[in-house]
Amino acid sequence: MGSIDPGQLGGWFDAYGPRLALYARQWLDAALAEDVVQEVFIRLMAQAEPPANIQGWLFRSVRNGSISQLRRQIRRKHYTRVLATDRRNWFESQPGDLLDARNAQQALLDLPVEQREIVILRIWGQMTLREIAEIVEKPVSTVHHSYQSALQSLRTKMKAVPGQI
Amino acid sequence: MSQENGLTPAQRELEAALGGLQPAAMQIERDRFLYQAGRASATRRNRAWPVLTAALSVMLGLSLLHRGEPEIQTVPVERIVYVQSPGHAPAAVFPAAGWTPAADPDLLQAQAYYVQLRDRVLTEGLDALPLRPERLDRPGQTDLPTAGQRGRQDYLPLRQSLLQRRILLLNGDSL
Repeated sequence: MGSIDPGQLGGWFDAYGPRLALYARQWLDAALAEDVVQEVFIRLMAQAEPPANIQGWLFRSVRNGSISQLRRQIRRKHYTRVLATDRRNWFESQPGDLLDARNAQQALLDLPVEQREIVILRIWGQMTLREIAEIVEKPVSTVHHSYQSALQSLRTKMKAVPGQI
Repeated sequence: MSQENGLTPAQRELEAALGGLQPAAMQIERDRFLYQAGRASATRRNRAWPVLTAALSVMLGLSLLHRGEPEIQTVPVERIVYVQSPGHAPAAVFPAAGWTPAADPDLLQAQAYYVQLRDRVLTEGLDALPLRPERLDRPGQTDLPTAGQRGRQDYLPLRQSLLQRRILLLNGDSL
């Protein structure tokens, strides 16, 4: 297998870019999250060969990059409730959506960060619980339990909003 | 996503509804990003040659430092050397200080003739002196009258002038 050509990279960028940015926003604001995603794709381009599991490699790299960036922000004391002050929406509102995008975003923000990460990897990363367990470095059973708990919490919060599930 | 067990129908319904939400588009310009990614990749690849060259230079330098001095082998070679006996060694003539070889071919010829004549006198005595002065350019020939024609007294001034010539040569004066 040879090096990555720009067309291949563009395809991956279109397919995974927004979902990776959403994943990075668990720790960072929108601008920093996109910076991390961009750096990860540039690192991917520099690889001699594409990773065997491109999706797993991308999400794991974005996770590591985001957590490193978050630690740098905390060291510099620039991190003051980034997620609360981030005004950019996580989701595009569509007419056919079954859920209100902003309510869903708020419900996700209210989850513990460990649960929120698992929900995003599962639903928008379209990964299996086993793949998620490898990324978050936890047993599959723990991931499964956290995911179930997160869905239950989300359902409870969304039910409280009129017109939601 | 429905292959995972343990979810209630309500949880699956919520999962499907959440999955319908599209993540917000990124604000990165796609074409600009791809250009930057390609450029960064090319820069990293081009960095390989300078790094390789530097590494080879360091290795070459280290190998030269650790090579040490070359081993010199002495091979005896037998040669026949002809040595003149001390009794026949010509006396060394050292030119006076400031003397420079003249470019005049006649002078050089005269010097060579003098040295030959001197060697003959030193080995054979005064009898080696020719009775008639020879032409310097053609030894054995003479433009002057023979000793028999002019007498031995005529030859003495000639020998005197030869001795003066020798003194001048030793002093480095021009003739």
